[in-house]
Amino acid sequence: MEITRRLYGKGLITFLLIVFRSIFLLASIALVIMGIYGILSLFVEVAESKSIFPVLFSITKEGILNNPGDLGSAEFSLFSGMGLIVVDEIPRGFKLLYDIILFLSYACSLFYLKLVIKILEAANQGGFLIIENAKRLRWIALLGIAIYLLGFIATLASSFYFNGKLELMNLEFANLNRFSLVSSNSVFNYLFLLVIAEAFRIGALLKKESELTI
Amino acid sequence: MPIIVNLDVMLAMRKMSLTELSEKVGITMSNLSILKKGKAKAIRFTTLQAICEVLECQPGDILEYSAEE
Repeated sequence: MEITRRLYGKGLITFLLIVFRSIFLLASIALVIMGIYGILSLFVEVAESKSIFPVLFSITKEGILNNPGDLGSAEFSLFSGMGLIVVDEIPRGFKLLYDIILFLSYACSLFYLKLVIKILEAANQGGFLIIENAKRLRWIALLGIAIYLLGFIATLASSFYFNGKLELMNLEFANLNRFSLVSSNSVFNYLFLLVIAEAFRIGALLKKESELTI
Repeated sequence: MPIIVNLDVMLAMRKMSLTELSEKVGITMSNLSILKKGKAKAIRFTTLQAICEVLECQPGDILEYSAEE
């Protein structure tokens, strides 16, 4: 019983705190480096800088699907795909715009991590069901939606920019395809988290009220 | 909060300290302090009954309604 309490109680929270603090530290360092590199690349010619951008595509050539047994073979087409391209030279204006979107997305992720750490710190001190944590949960949900939207905008900006400029055999590049919406279900998870945050807030209010009942 | 707690007035009238009341009623000092300062959100009938018994008073002597505040 004691072991179970230790494992799922304070021990687990301490472990999660260490993990999230480490991720936060690494992400902060990465963000600072990214910011410095971005500013430097505006004024100084950075040698051999390769950039990575997402693109949406479909393959025009049809493939063959080998079915098991007597079903024989069938044709298939890859009509919705997403990949990353590495580019040597790119106009600074577009690169700056893309980097700003990415920077904002990383900054949101960092803030997201900070809020998770604050919730864990509060839980570590024995104050989990508090109004501050409800507000933090709400912010986490909103940041999650913002991170998804920024990622989506970055992909759209990249695919719109490169559409018509890229040439590759049997590949047709697109502005928008089904694959670009593949992670949109995460938005529903974050909307659900908003509902949980509201329930958490009501619970925290009730707890406070019961504590002040003499 | 339009409900005013006159616990300090009743304690002064009975010449009783908060510590003494706490011991006689069986409520912690911190809870009585919350009640005295008017920070409490609610009071149980059992608590009110115990306070009234010790202070030999009516609930209306401890609680007062004021629409102005």
